[in-house]
Amino acid sequence: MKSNHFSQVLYEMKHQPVIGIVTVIGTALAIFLIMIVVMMHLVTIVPFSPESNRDRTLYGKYINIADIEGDGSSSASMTYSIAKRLFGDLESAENVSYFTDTETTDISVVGSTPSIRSRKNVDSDFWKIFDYEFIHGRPFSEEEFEAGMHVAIVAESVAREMYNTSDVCGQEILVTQIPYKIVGVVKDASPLASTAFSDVFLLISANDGLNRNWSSEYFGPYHCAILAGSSSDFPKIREEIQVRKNIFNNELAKDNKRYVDHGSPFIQEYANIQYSNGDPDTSAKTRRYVIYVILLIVPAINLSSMTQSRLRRKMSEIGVRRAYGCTRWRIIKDVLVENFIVTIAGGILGLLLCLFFGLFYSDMVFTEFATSKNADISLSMLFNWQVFTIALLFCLILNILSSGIPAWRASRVDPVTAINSRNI
Amino acid sequence: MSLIKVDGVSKMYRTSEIETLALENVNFTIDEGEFVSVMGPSGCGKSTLLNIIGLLDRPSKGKVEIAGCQLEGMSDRQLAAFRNFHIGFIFQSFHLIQSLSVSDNVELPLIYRGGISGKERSRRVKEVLERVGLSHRADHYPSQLSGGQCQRVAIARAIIGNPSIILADEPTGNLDSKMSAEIMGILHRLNKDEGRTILMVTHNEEQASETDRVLRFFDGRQITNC
Repeated sequence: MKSNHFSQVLYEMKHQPVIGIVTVIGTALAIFLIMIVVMMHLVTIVPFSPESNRDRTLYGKYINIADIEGDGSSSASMTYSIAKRLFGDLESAENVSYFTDTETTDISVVGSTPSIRSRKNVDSDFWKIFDYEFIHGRPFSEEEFEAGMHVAIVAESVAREMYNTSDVCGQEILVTQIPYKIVGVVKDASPLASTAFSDVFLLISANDGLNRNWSSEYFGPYHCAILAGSSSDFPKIREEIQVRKNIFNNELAKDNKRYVDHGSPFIQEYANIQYSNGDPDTSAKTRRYVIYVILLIVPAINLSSMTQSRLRRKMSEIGVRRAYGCTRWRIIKDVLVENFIVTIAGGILGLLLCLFFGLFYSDMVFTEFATSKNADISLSMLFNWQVFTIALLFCLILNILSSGIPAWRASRVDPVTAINSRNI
Repeated sequence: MSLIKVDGVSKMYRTSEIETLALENVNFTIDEGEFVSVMGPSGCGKSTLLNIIGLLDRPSKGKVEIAGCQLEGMSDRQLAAFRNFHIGFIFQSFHLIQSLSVSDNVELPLIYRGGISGKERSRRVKEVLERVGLSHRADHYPSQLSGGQCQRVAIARAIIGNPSIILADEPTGNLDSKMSAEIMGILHRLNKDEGRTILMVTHNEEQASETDRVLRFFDGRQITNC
């Protein structure tokens, strides 16, 4: 309670070790649980390679077209021509890329048993938006795209599985028994990079892919990613797209149809929770906040009794401080600061525990991203300034929740009663 | 000139079942520079009186004036500041904060006063510890000191803010006779040499006889003022 709150906290830890340790561990577990939930969310939105541009990328995944009269409505991903028409060649964007969903497929080399891997069809601009690290070779060229060549880029693990080496440029790989020439090898990505992740990349223009559709002139297998100079360009990009949507809508009206605008393209946070025929599920955000509140309040109630117990033993000291001119507010402030130091210690422990689990038990934590390979988590994906700030914020809230009332009560105790409580 | 004026002070403690009259219509004044003892059997209201004068408790009736200031209606912040500037407390069981070193304990009133630089606070802590003969113990903790030394630290804490009044509640109650004499010597020096006004609760007739005046209490009533 003097200016050096640290020594005060250390003294208490030394003289009330059980209460001190239980408080720190309780705080650590609370922060651990809450940060696991936070990280499960953050890995879907924070930038990391190969999705380092998440914060300046917009995603157009689906369109929804309905009958003007009647209940008919269809929604799905787009044909290449519709995707390009709505989102392509934007003046205010740096780049636009078109690609398919990641799907599983048979891959092999001549004479080998096929294995199941993930495959994605992309264009030549894909590599300008998603920063895969090339170990060998190069990205697809414009010419290869225009010519619809049978070329492939593979992940290092695929190269090693097929050829026992990573340098496989110039070799051939069979994807669903069709041969492709490997022109590049990239470092394996984490499945947490849900848009960019794949083991094998082929050109969308190969096999007449640009004309693929789902028996409709509007719907096909394509999504797009729009790279802006910065997120401040998003409104301009959206304005530009809105003009195109309006023109598209007018044309649809001739066929008694209308474009149902759900707000696409979306920022990263909504891209993964966007339904094909509706608005992004923003209730997920509310559910997340409710979970945070529960995860904070339950331990806060328990920790509050610990704080109360510690303060009861300090009551006489509080009385003496009051006698020498300490105000009630200062008592509250000092209790909060000292408790915050303990909470921070617990918070750091909890955060470390969370990082440990995220790194070494990632399959358990990030189950929603489970694929044929494990989640491949790196520390840089889990720990960044956002994680640190959120952990600090939760520590602060937990501190106020757990020590606010005990501190207030301690400050209200009559100084004479406090002095005579004889615990000093 | 009277520094403390106690005017018709009564104190009643109420619980749901009983009412206890701790002080009844107490009246006296203490002049600046006086050394006054308060005597009486246990439970007669001596400590209650000290707490009321020290602004740690409020009277149920009557009023207390210190240095001409009306204290009724003061906010918690104002009372805290008033205590800090005008009153130094010495308790029977020292009430030093165990987690703080001797110098940190002594420094406390200056920290709460605010506006005093760390350097100045250190200088004053050093000076006041020298006055009570404990400068060599500045970095020790209360648990490393004898009872007499603890009380000297408590005296240093009480005087560091240069208060005009020192309220001592049985300051030698927990000490042996040699230590008691030492502490009383310090209190007398503070009174004679520095002119501090001291109000001391004691059970010791000999110590009381060495003070300027004795206020005697019985069952909450003031029975003598001589």
